[in-house]
Amino acid sequence: MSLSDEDVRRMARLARLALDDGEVTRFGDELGRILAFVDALRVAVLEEAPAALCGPWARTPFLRDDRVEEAGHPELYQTQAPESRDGYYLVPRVIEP
Amino acid sequence: MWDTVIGLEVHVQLLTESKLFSSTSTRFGAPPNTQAGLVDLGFPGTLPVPNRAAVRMAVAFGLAVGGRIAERSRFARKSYFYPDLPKGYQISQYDEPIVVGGSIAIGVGERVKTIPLVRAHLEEDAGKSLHDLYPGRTALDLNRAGIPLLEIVSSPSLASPEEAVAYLKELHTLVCYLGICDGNMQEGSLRCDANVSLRPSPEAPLGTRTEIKNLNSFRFLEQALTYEIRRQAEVLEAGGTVAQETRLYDPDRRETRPMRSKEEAEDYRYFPDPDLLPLVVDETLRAEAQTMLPELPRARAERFVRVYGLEPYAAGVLTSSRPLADYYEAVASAVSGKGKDSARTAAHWVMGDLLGALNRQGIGIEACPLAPARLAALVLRVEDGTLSGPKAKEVFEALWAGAEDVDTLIERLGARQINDREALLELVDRILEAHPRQRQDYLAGKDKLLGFFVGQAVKASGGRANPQELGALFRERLGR
Repeated sequence: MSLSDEDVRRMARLARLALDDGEVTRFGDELGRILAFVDALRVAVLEEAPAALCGPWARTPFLRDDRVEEAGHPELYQTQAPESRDGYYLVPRVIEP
Repeated sequence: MWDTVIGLEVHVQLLTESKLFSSTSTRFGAPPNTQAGLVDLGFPGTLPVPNRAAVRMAVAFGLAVGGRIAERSRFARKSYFYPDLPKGYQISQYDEPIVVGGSIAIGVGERVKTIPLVRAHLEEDAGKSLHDLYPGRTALDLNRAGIPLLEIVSSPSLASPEEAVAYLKELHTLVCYLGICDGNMQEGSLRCDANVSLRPSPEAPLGTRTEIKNLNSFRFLEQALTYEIRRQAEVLEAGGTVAQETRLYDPDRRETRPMRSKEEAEDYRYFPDPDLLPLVVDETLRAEAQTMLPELPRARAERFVRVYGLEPYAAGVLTSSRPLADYYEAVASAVSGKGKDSARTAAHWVMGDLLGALNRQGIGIEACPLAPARLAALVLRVEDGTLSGPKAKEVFEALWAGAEDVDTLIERLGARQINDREALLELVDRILEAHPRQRQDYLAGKDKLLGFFVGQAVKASGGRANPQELGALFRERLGR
């Protein structure tokens, strides 16, 4: 599977990334190789593979009991934020559409 | 005239203690970000773990609407960039929702219309953005981020704003009955997006639809749809085409306005969330959900009609919330079989004086100071003729305000109805003697004066004389 330059530009736009033409070519090439690698799974013979290799589908999922066990610690977590005030995280103003 | 087609997407906040994928609290009104934990904030290295109670509630809803519960469903990532969504994606369900199909019955005038549901799926709520707290900044409170939502999608089967409101009310009643939502629309516990389109006739293909976002009251839903239907009709009648777009309702100006126009169709790049295993609803979980199901409002209303002989309207009012239905049922079962109309009289008192008194004090039925047994005692005294209508109201007020029992109050207030024939006859004679002219007019054929005589007699007795008996005795005395 190969990616056109247009595919790469579209993905970059959706991910809010600005790529120049050189980067479009480079990432197109790299992504194409990643996809080719993943594509190889299609020809793999999975019937004989151990269950653990076939993904987690057969496992019983874990559900959590409905209990409050964690608090927010804004004063601690907000040390990681570029800007905060009065308990709020602040970001450049987003005008409501 | 246009054929209107409406579909609703309703977001119901599930009434869990903790969030959908983390163990922080969902309590409303906490100081900002004190309930936003590491998972909610999307810190690297954290992993979501689904809340069993939220899954159970979604299954209970599915069972209640007769939908198919998917034994295996899947969480997917819906990617978009907005600061109230810290991870850059929302965990939702896409191609494999937990509930498929089902239906909700609504009353449309006299008849019942069944609205098919498309699906219901689990997803996490986003945080809250506040744009006017600090100049040039948007402030974020992420306490709401991660609260479990059940998104319920109706088919486009609603034909008018009235039907849309009836549907939303029915859904509201249902989720409250199930105990999976507190139903508090002011706090955003139930929010609604409406899709609406017009077409020339019911046979024509669906027209282009617009979506109105975030309607958080029945009134706004009705107003927004009414406006939007008129707007689309004007566009079409002027020969134009309706643009497929998302619009916002402005309640102050009573109009819908387009949100920013999109250069390209939304591309959320849904894909299965690799952090989460498929969601499996096994027999145990299904059985747990089954035990949550109470008798549902519509079935209960039908039973009230059948067992207590209520009018469908009264049954509908009394089953509009579970605590109200429980209250009525406590009164009705205490008086049932004692007197021929006792259950209906009980309905009359609950819907009239009781709801009136609660309204006056601004409290809900859950906080009702008058125990059902005490109201039942009053109903029995009305039924057995001890109390007349006006005196019963007096006793009710005293009952509401104090702790005395009904019989004590009847004696203290001298409220006992006069049913004794001799006493009533004496009263009848006194009234006739005092109004000779009216008596003559009555005998000459002015039948309406019977009401006047009864009224005078009741008044003279201080409201205690039995009006039915009086009517009969006046007729007897006057010979016609």
